Amino acid sequence: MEFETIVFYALAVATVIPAFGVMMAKDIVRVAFWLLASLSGVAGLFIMLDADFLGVTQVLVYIGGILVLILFGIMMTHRDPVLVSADDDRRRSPFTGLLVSLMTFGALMGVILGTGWNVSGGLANGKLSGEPTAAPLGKALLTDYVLPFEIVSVLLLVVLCGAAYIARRGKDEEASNA
Amino acid sequence: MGDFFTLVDWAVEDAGFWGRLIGVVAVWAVPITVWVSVVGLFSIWLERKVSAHIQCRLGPMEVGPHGALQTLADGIKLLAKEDIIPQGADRFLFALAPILSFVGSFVVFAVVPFGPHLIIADLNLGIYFLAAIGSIEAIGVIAAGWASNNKWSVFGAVRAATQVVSYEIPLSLSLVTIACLAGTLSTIGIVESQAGWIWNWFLFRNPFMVISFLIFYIASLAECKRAPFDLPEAESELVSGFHTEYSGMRFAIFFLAEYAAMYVVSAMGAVLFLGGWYTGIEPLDSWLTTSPVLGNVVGALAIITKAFFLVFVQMWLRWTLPRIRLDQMMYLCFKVLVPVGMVVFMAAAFWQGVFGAPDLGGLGSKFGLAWFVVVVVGTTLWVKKTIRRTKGYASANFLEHQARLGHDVGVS
Amino acid sequence: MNGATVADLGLVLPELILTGMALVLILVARRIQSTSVPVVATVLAAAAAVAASWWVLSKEPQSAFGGLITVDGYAQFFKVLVAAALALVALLSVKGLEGSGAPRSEYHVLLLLASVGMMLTVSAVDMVTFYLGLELITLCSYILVGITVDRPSSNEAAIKYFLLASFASALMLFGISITYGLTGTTSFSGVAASIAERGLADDPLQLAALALIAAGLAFKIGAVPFHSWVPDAYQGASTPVAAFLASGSKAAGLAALGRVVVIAFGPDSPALSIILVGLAALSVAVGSVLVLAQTDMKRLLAYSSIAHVGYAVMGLTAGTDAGASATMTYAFFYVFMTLGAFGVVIGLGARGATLDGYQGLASQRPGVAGVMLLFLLALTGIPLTSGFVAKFVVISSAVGAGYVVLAVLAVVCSVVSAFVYMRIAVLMYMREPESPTPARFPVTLSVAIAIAAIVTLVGGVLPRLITDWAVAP
Repeated sequence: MEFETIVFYALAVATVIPAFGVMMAKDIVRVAFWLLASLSGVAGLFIMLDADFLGVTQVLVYIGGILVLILFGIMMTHRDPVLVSADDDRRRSPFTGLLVSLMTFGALMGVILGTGWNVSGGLANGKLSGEPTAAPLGKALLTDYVLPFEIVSVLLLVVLCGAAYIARRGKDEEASNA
Repeated sequence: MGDFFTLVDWAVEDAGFWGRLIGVVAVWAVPITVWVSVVGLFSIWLERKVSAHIQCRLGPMEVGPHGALQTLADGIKLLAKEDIIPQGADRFLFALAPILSFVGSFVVFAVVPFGPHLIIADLNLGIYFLAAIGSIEAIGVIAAGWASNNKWSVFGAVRAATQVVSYEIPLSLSLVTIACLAGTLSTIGIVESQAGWIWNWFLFRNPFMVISFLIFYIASLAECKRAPFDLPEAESELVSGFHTEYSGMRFAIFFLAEYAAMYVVSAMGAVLFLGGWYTGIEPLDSWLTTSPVLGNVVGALAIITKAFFLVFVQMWLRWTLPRIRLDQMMYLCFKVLVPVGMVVFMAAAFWQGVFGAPDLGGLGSKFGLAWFVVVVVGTTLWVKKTIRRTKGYASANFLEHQARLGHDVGVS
Repeated sequence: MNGATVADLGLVLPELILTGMALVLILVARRIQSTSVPVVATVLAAAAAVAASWWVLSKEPQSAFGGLITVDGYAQFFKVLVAAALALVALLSVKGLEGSGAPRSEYHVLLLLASVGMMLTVSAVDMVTFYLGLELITLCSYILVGITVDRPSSNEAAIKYFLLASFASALMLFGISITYGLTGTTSFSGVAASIAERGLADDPLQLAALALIAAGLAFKIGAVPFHSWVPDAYQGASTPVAAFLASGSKAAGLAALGRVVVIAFGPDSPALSIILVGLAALSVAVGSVLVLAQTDMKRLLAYSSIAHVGYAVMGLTAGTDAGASATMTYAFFYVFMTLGAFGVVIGLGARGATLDGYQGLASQRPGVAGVMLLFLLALTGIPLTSGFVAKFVVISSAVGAGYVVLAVLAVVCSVVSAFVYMRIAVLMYMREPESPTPARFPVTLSVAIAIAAIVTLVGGVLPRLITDWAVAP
C-alpha cells in the first residue's frame, strides 16, 4: 500500500472515532475534547489532500476559535458539566436511533456512489500537485472575489456591532438596577 | 502531501512505509525533542541567574559551574516525585492537558529556521501555521484548569484563554505586516528578504516597523503568559493558576512548555524582525554561499544569540515590572494594540507601495540606512539618559542592600 | 472570471451609497441624540440609491466583478423596491420605536446594511454572492428582532429566529457545496450549462442539493413548511422591524428564488416545479386558514404574509420569464400594501395591536379607517386595488403553465382569507367605538402610509405602469 493511502486511513479513523466520542460522551467538556480530536483529524485530511492552507485554517478557526469559545461557554455557564436529560430514568431504546442513522447512511452512500462526480484534473491522474495554495487564494480573494471579500467585511462589522450592542445592553441593565 | 514532509521525502525516497515512518520520526520528532529540552534547561537556568542578579543575589551556584546543571538535577528530582492526581479530577483530561500544552509549543519549532537549509519543515505557510498552532496551547491550559476540579485553576484557565485568544489578534496583525513586506509566509523566505546589511532587517525597513515589533513583542509576552501578563498564574491571587494541582513530571512538562514557548516566540521575533540567521554584516553573510559549513554555523549562532537576547529581555521585564490588572490587559489589547497594529499595517503597506522594497533599488534602501542611524542614535541617547537618571538610585540601593546583609561588596 | 476593475464600482453604486451612510452613522452614533437625524440620513441614502439604480441602468445590462453579480432590469427593479421599503420603514420607525429603548443610530445602520444585503442578493448570479447577501440580511435581522430592550418576548423571538435561521443557512450552504462539487462552478449560468451538458437533471444528488437550496430559500421567505418562525419573530420584534421583515426581506428572497429557478436550475427541471408547486400550495392554504384564527394584528399580518408568499411563488412555478415577471409584480404590490397595513398598526399604538382595537375606528378617524380598508381590500385581492392585479397575474401564469388545480386552490383560499380581512372592516365600520379616539399620526407616518396607499390604488387602476417595468432577467 502507498504511504498516502495508509496515512489517509489513519486520519480517517482519527476523525471518525472521536466523532463517536462526541456522540457518546456524557461529560460536556469531554465532548468538546473529542471534538478537538475529530477536528484535528479533518485538518490532517485537508493537509494530506494538498489543501494546506485550508488545513491550517481549520486549526485556526475551529480549534483556536470555535472550540475555545465552546469551552468558554461551558465554563461560564455550567455548574454541573454532566449532561442529564429529562428522561434519563426511562431506558431509551437505541434501535430507533440506529434505524434512523442507518437509513441516512444508506441514502447518503447510495447518492454518493451513484453520482458522476466532476473530478478535476489534479486528482484524476492519482497524483497531487503539491503546489502551495496560500498565494493563489490570496490573489483570488483580492481580484476575482473582491466583492464577496468586502461583503464578508460588512458582515463581520454587523456581527461586531450586534455583539457589542447585546453585551452592552446587559451591562446597562445591571447599572440601572444597581 | 505538500511540503509538510519535503525533508522526509528527500531523505528517504523509496524507503517504503516503515522507512518513511521512521524518517518522519527521525527528521521531525527527534531533533525537535532534543533541541526543546536543551533550550528549556538552558532558559530555566538563565531565568534563575537573571532573576538572582536583578535581585542582587547569585542564584544557583552549587551544581556544576555557576549552577549550570541545577535544572538537570531539579528535573531528576521532579521525575522521582509522586504523581498526584487530585480527588474528583477528570483523570483523562488531567493527563492530557500537559501534553496538549507541550505539543502547542513543540510543533512550532518545526518552522523556526537556523539557516537557509537548516529547518525541519519550510512550510510555505510558515507564520500562518505559527498563528494557528498558538491556540492549541490555550486548549491545553483550559483542559488543565478544568480537569483539576479546583476553582483557582478554573479562574486561571479562563484568564489564560481570554488572554491568549485576545492577544492573537495584535500578534497576527504584526505577522500580516511582515507578510506584506516579505511577500511570502515562509519563514525561510522572510529571512531571505532581509539579506544584506543590518538596515535591511525588517525592523528598520520603514518607520512603522519598530512599532510593529513592539506590538509583536508585547503580544508574544501575553501569549507566553509571561510577566507583566502572568495573570493566569498570578500567585498572589490564584495560588498558581491552572497548574496549581500539578506536581512531579506533569508540572515539569508545563514548565518546559512555558520556556519552550518563550524561546519560540523570541526566535520568531528574530526571524521576523531581526534578520534571522543573517548577522547584518554583508561580508560575513556571504560565507553562506562561499563556505557553507562555516556560514551555516555562524548563521545558526546568530539566530540563537538573537533569540536568547529576546528571552533575556523577557526575563528582565518579568523581574522588573509589576503585574497588570485584568481590565488593563483587555484595554491594552483591544484599544491600544489592535488599532495601532492596523494603522501600522496600512502605513507599512503604503510605504512599501510608494517607496518599494530595497532590493528593487527604490528609495527604500537609502531610507533603511538613515532610519537605522536614527533608531540606533535615539536608543543610545535614551538609554544613556535613563542610566544617568537612575544611576545614583540603583547603586545606592545596591550598596545599602548588601550592607544590610553583611556582604562584602567586592567582586565574588 | 475576468477579475474586477475599478469601473465595476460604479455598477454597485446603490450598495456603496447605503454602506457609506451606514458607516457614517456608526462613526457618529454616540454623538447623535435626536431621533430624526438617522431617519433623515436613511431616507436620503435610500433616495440616492434609487437614483443611482436608475443611473446605473441607463447603460447596458452587464455583469460586474467577474460575473459575480449582474446589473440588469430585474436587479434594478428589486433594488428600487428594496430602497423604497427601506425608506418607508425608516419613516415608520419614528413612531414605531417610541419608548422601545432601541438605539436609533444602530437601528438604522442595521436597516441600511440589511438593505445592502438585499440589493446584493437580488443582483447575485453566483452562489457565493447569493449566499453572502442572504446571510447579511439574516444577520442584520437577528439583531433587529432582538434590538428592543424592554421586552423579553423580543429576546425570545430573536433566539428562536437565530436558531432556526442558522439551521436553514447551513442546509442551504450544504446544497450549494454539493452543487459546486457536482458542477465545478458556482456561477448560476455555469451550473445551468453543466446540468444540461452532463445530464444531471435526474441525478439524485443534484436533486438533493436543489431541495436543500430551495428549503433554505423557502425558510428565508417564510413559505410553508418552513414558516414556523414567522409569527413568533413578527410578534416578538418591534412593529417596524416586522414590517421590514415582511417587505424587504421577502422581496429579496423572492428575487433570489427567481434567479435560482430561472437561471441556475433551469425551467426544464420537473423536480423544481414539484417543489415550487408544493411550497406555493401549502403556503397559500396554511396561511389562509391559520390567519382566520388570529386576534393579534402582528400575528395576523404574519400569517397573511405566509399566504402571500405562496401566491408570489405561484408565478415561479411556470419557470418562464412571464411567470417571473408575475412574481416581480406581486412582490412589488405586496411590499407596499403590507407596509401600509403595518403603518396603520403602528399609528394606532397599543390599540392597533389587537383586532378589538379597530372597533368603531371609522366613526372616530374616518381617514385612517379608509386607508386601512384600502390595504385590507388589497390584501384580499379586490379589483381596483393592486392586490387584484397581483393575484391575477400570478394565477394566470399558473394556469398558463398548466397548474389549474393550484390556481383553483389559490382562488378558494383567497376567498377564505377574505373573512378575516373583512372582519376588520366590519369592526371598523359597523361597531361602536369602545376606546378613546387615537392621537393624530405624526407627519412621517402619514407620509409613509400615503405613499403606500397611492401605490396600492394607482397599481390597481393603472397596473401597466408596473407590469411593463417588471421584466424577468
